[in-house]
Amino acid sequence: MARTAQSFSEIGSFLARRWSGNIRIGVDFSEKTGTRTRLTENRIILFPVERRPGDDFARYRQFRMDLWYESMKVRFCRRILSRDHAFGFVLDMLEERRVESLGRRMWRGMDNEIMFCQTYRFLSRPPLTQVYGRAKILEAFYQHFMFGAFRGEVQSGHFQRVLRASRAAGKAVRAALEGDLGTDWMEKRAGEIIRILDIDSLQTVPVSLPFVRQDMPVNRRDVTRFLGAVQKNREGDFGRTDSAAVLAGESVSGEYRTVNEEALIHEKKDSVPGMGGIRTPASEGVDESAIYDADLIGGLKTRFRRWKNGYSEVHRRSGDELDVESYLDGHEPFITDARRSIKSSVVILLDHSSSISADAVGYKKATLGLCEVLAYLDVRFAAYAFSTVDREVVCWLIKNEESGWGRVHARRLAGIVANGSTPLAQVYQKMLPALQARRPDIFLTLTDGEPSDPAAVREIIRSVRSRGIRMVALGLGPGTSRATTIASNLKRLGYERTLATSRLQDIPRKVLGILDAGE
Amino acid sequence: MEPTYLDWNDSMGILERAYKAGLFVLVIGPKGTGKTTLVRRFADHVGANLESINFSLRTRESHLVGTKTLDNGTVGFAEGLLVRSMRSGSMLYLDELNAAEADVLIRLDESLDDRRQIILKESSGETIRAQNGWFVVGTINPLSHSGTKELPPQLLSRFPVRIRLEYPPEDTECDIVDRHTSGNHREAVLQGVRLANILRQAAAVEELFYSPSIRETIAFGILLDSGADAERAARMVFGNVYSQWGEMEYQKVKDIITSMFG
Repeated sequence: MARTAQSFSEIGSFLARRWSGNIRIGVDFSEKTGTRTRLTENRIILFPVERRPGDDFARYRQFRMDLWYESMKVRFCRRILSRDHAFGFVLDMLEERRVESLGRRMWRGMDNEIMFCQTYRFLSRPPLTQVYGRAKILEAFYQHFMFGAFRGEVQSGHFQRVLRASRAAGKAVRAALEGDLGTDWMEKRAGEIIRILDIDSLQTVPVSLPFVRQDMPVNRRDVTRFLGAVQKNREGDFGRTDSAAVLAGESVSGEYRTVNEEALIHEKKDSVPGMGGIRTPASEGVDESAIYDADLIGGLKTRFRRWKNGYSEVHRRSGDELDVESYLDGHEPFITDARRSIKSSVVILLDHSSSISADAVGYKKATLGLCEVLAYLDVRFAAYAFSTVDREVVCWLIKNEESGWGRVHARRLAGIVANGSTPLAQVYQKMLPALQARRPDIFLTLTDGEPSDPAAVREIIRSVRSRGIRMVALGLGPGTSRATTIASNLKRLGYERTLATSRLQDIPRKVLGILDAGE
Repeated sequence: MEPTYLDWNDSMGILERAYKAGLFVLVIGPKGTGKTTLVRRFADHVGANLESINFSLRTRESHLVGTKTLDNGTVGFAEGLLVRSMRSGSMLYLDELNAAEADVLIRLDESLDDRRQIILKESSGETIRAQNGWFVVGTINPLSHSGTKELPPQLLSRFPVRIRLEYPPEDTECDIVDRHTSGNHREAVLQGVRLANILRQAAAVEELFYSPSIRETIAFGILLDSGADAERAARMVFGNVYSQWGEMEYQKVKDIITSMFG
C-alpha cells in the first residue's frame, strides 16, 4: 500500500482539525505510547495504522474512529489526564462516553462507525485470564462499562464491585449530559468509582495496546460475535443497528478509496522515473530530532533572510569617480536593489560511506540544515544519498524535486546508516535515468572519500556534463589538509568546480555560494 | 643590485623569440607567480624602455589614449600611455588586462591589430602609427580571482603567444628564495614553501580565502635571515593574514603551521 505514516499524519491532522475545531492540532504515530492526546502541545498521538488488527479497510476505520474520539476530547474536555494511572484511566473512560454522546449530536451518521470501532477495541482487549494483579479489576470494569461483557472470566469477588462501578459510571455520564457538566464535575465521579472498585487512584495501569500483530488474520466469526455483544450493550443509546451495515462501512468506503487513489498519485510524484536501484529509506519509527540542530538552522535562516526577500543592494556604477553633479541631475542611481533569487534546480548527493560514520550526526545535522535553508529559500532541489546495505550499494531518495521539504524527509535522512565504500560511478549510474529525466542545472556531490572507481567516474562525469548539467563536488575532511587533498583529487576527475570544507557547519554556506554563483 | 631572475620554465626564451618576431605575448597565471618580474627583467635584458599600466575597474580610456587639457586658455592634448608607447616604440606592459572595463578594452583592441595604429578621435583625429619595435606584453589572472572578467576573444587573438606561469616546483621556489636571501636556511625555507603550497591548494578548492604568493615565501626567507625562528616567521607571513576572515579561518592555518613547525 502506498500510504505512509506521513500521509496518515496529514490525513489525520486534516480530519482532527475539522472535527475538533482546533486548527493547530497535529497527529503523530507511536508504537510505544498508544493513543493519547496532549492538549497543551496540540498533539494527538495514535497507534500506527499498519499495526492494527483486521484488513486494510478495517485498520483505516479504526484509525479514523480513534481520531474522532480524540478530536471530540479536544473539543469538549477541559483537560486530558494520562491513562497510565487508575484515576486518569477511569476519568478517560467516563469522558470518552460523554464526548461520544456530544459528538454524535454534532456529527450525525457516526453510529455504525462507533459500533465498528468498539467491536475492534473489544477484540483487542486482553482476556481477563491474561491480566494479573490489581490491574485485573480495572480491566474488568473497563470491558464491562465499555462493551457490556468480559473477555474471559472475572473473579467472583470482583464481579459485584465491577457491576456497581459500571452502573455508577453510566449514571454519571447521563447526569453530565443532562446537566451539561464538564471535566471538573466528571473528575469527582471518577474518584467515587475508584472507591467503589477499592483500588488506589495512583495504581499503574499497564499500557493496553491492540495486541493483535500486523497481518494476523482476524476471524470474521469473532468479529460478528463481538459486534453482537457491543450492539446489545449500546442498544439503549444507539437503538437497533444493522450488523451487515456496520461491517460494510459504506459511509467510509468512498473516503477510503479516495485516500488510496491520492496516495498512489503521491507515490508516483515521490518516485523517480526509471528508478532502478533507487530506494526510499524507511522513515517510520525514526526520530529525526537527534539531527535537528535548531541553532544551526535558525542561524542559517537569519543569515540568508535577505535572499528570501529576493533583493540585494548592488552598485550600479563602477570604474569612475562619483560625479556628484550628474548624479544629482538625475542620472542612473549609484546604488540599486537587484533581484536575487536562486532559479537553478539542484540535485544533491550525500556520501554515507563508512568513513562518515564517526561523525554521522554532525554530518546529518549540517546536511539537514542545508535542506531546511534551501526549502526556506524556495530552491528547487532533490536530495539523494548512498550507502552500502548487505554488501550492495544503495542509492537512497531522500527528497525529489517536486515534493516540499518536510519531517518525513528529515526522518529519511536520519534513518540512513553510513556504511561501505565510495563507488561513485555505480551510484551515478543508478542516478543517470533520474538526471536525464529531470535535467537539473547543478549536480552536487558531497563526499569525504576518493571514489573506488576513478576512471569510471571520470567517464560518467563527462557524460553528465555533456547533457548540460554542471557537475560540482564538495570534499569533506577532518582538517584543512585532508579536506584539501580530497577536493584536489576530486578536481582531477573532471568536475567543473571543486570545493573543500573542513567544518561540517560550513556545508550550507558553501552550497549556497555555489548556487548563487550558478545564477 | 637586484637578484638575477631564475627562468625556471624558459619564459624568457619564449619572450625573446616573440619579441624578435613582433608577436605580442599574453602571460597567464595566478597572482604572485612572478609575471611582472619576468616582464621587467626581460625589458632589461633586451634594453627596451618599459611603459606599464595596471588595469582595474577604474582605468578609463583617457588613461590609455589621452585627455584634453586647458593651459593658459589653450586647449591641448595630453597623450596617454598607449599613444606615447606607440610613438616611441617602447615595450608596453598591460598588467591585469582582464580587470578592465569593456569600453577600455575596445580602444585597446583597435591599436593591437596588424595595422598597429590608433585614430585619436579625442583630439585632432590624427592617426598614430606604432614605431617599429613596438612590443606589447599583457598579463591576466585566472577567472577564479576576484574582479577578473573573461577577456573577449578578439582581444585574446591579438596576443598569439601565451605563456602559462604557475607556481614553481618546491625546489625551484626555494632556489628563487635563495637568490633573495643568504641561502643559509634551506631546510626551513623548504618547509615554508611546502606550507605555502598547502595554503595555495586549499585556496584553489575554496577551503581558505587567500593564497600566498612567491613574494611571501621570499619574505619568509628574509625574516629567517633576520634571526626570526621559523614558526614565528611562518605565523607572521602566512598565518596572521587569515584572521581577516575570522578566528575560525585563522585557526585552520595556525593548526597547519603548528603541525609543520611546532
